[in-house]
Formats: sequence, structure tokens, C-alpha cells
Amino acid sequence: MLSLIIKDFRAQKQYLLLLFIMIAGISAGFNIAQRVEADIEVELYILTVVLSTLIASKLFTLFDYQANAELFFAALPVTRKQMVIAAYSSSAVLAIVTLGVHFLAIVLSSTELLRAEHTFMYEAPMWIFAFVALVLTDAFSFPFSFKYGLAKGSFVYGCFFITLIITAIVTINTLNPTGFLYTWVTAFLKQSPVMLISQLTVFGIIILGISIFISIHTYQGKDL
Amino acid sequence: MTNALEITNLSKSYKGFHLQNVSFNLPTGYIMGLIGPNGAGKTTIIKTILNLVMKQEGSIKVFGLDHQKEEVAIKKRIGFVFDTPAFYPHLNLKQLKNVVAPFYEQWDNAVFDDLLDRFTLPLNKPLKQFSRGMNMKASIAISLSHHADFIIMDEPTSGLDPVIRREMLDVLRGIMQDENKSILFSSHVTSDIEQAADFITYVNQGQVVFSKTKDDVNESFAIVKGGNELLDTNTAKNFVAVRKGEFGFEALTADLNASKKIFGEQVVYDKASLEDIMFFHNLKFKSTN
Repeated sequence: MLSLIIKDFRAQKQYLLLLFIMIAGISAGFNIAQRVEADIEVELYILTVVLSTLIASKLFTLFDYQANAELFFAALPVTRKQMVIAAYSSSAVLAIVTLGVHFLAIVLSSTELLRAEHTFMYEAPMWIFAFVALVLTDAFSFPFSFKYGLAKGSFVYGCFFITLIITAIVTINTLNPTGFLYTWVTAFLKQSPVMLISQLTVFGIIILGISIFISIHTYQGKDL
Repeated sequence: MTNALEITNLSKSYKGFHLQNVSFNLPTGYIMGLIGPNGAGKTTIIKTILNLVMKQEGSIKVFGLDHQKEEVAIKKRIGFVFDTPAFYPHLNLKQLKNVVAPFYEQWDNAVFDDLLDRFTLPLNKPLKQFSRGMNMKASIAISLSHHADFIIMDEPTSGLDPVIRREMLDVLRGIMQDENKSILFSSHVTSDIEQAADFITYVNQGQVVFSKTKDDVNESFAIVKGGNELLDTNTAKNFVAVRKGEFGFEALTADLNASKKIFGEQVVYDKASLEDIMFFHNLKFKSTN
């Protein structure tokens, strides 16, 4: 299975280099702009980090889809289960490395020479939150990719995600402020960042486990 | 005699297509040609062997092992070539080798380099700049570089020019110098099968019409040509299908001896090519559907 993970990094190394240069440019740009503009919104930076890392983590799946390589790799001495776990693993590794590059760019662009700020960008909870958000996105999106393929799967997942967001907005707007759910959500969000992140991480791991199980089950019966 | 491949009562249904009770064996050390018109089920059979398509019924054994339970062990000993090579186009052969080789414990760089030399394939040119023939040769080089015991090829010669096709057939013959190797290759270029195969399995509309040695096929099938007056309901039963013309009929018999008993010297008997066999069976399928 290790060969399956390594093959992505081996095969796409030139694109990865280009990607990491772009990622570093984004974070360094934000850091330097913060000094000039003085007030960069933390939410905007988190969103940029999460979205860029999400796109990066899907790079291998995208390349396999583009080259129509799924059939070739499925015919190698590997099982479908290994292919699924390798897809999750390489996506996670790529997400971690991309987040690392973001962080490194912040550190390196904060030198005396550039005199850029880093303030909130140095806070660990922000990075953990970004990673958990990515884990959850992967957990929800992969089963759709394995069931329907990348193109159709992304469309179905997009519909699912929009439905989820609309449901969440409607639910929040119709919540009774004295009701159990409202009280629970408020109390949950008011916890210390460490507690909040810990609970989100555990939740993320459970969801990821369920997602891997569903993906394996789906992909094992799929005709390629 | 051991079998490299044993397929028994294999069935698979798609929307509008059914593979029905497919059964045939390929003894170790031989080449089997899988023939049939487009959409007959050849690719589905090959994909099912490789567990890329899930069977619904039946059993498939490769080297005597269940193809699903022992998937990895079997695939380590299989080399495969698909009709459309699917690699990362930006890689060159050296980089592709570095991606594929770690999957096989038996990978042999010397064999790979030797095959590239033999096929005159450049090591450092991106695959996207390869012609179809070069891509196919690259596929074959990769499939043969881990000392596979069983080579499975889906339409390896389609779309290739005659020179390259001939070269490929030479490669197949070269592989068969080792009597432990077996090859299953599908093609609708029947001349390739006639040149290279020891066994022929003919598939049409998801069913195996016959699976025989090439010698058996040559001995049993024949084209019979004669006057229309010789044809009646009884004599026509002797044929797979009949094509009537203004000056006489042309038919395919699957039992040359029986035909000779019926018609004697009144008709002409010609050797039936695989193309003839496919053509007349197709006529039969059309008339029965």
C-alpha cells in the first residue's frame, strides 16, 4: 500500500513543487499585506488556507482522473481496500504538507528583512481547526468520489454540501433560544479553544473512520 | 496439464448487456486468442479476470487460485496490456518505471532496458509525445518486466500498423519460449489470432460460441459453396449460417465430415478463416434475434 501512496508523490513531484511555491506565495503575501493593510481578517485567511489546502489535497485524485489511470493502478497487485486507504492517506499527507508550507511561509516572511507581521497566523488552534475542517471535507467528499467517480462525485457532493449548509442556516435561524439544541450549541462553542479543538478532532476521526468504511464498501463492488 | 486460467459459468449483467455462463480453460504454456465482434464481451471477461469488473456468478481461477481471494498474489504474476494505455502523460518511461516497479518484487530492470532497446523506445521522452504504437510497446515492456507467468492483453494490436503488429506477435512468440508462460489476448484482428494463438475462444453477444484448439477449429469449420438446388430444410441444418446468392449458396459448416457425407463432391469445400467463422456466426445471431 505504501507503493500506492509513494507513487503519487513520485509521479507528480514537478507539479507539487509548483503548487508549494504558489501556496507559500499566498501565505507570505497575506503576511506581508497584513503589515501594509494593518487589518487582515482572520476568517479570510483561514478560508484561504482551508480552500487552497483542500484543492491541493485533491490534486492526486484529479491527476488520476485526468490520466484515466484508475484502471491501470487497479490492475496492479493491490486490493480495492488498499486503494481506498491509500487515497485517504495521500490526501491527508498532502494536506499536512500543504499546511506546513503555509506555516513555513508565514515564518520565513516574518524576517527582519521583510518585517511582516504574523499575529494570529502563529496561533496553533487556527492550524488545527484548518486541519480538522479538511479532514471533515475529505470524509464527506471521498465516498461520493468512490461511488460516482471524480466528476459526477464532485457534483453530487456539491449538491449534498449545499443542502447541508442550507439546512444548517435554516436550523440556526429557527432555533428556539431557550431550547435544548440552542443551549447545547452555545455551550459547546463557548468552551476553551483546546477543549473545542479536541472534541472536534475526535469527531473528525470518528467521521473519517465511518467515511473510510463506506468508501471501501462502495469501491469494492464497483465496476471500473 | 495444469491450467493458467479456468473460467466456469461466469455471468455478469449490465444495462443492455449480459455475459452468460462463460466457461473456458487456458492450459499453462499456451496462447489463447479471444475473438468476437465489438461489444461481444471480450473486455468484460478480461476485466473480470483482473477483478476490475465484479462477477455476479461463476468462478475464475488463475494458477488454480480464486481470483478474488488471492487477488494480490495472482496479480503479482500477471502482466496486463489494455487497449488504451492509461499513464500519466507528463512522465517519461524512466519515471513511469520508477512508479510501477515498486509494486512488483520480481521487477527486473535489465529486462525492462532490454525491451526498450528492442522496441527502440526513448527513455527520456514524455509519454504524451508517443505514438499509439510506441505507447502500446511501452505497455508491453512494463507488463513483461516483472517475469509475469500470465500475460493478459486486451486488443493489443488494434490501431497499429502491420509492421508493429508483426513485431508484437514476434514478442509474444518470444515469451512462449518459456513453457511456463501463458497468454490470453483479445482481438478482432483475426489474422493476428490465426498467426499467434494455440487456442481460440469465440465470444458473441456475451456467450462463448466455442473454445477450441486452433487445429480443431481448422479441422471442423469449413466454407461450403454449391448450387441453391442442394439446399433444403434438412441440408441447411448442417450449417451455422447460409448466405444465398443468385448463382448459389455459401455456408459455414462446423462439422466438415458431416457436410462431406451429405454433399459429397457436389459442393466445394474451402478453408474457413476466423473472419469467415465470425461473419457466419454473426449472421446466425442476427437471424435468431
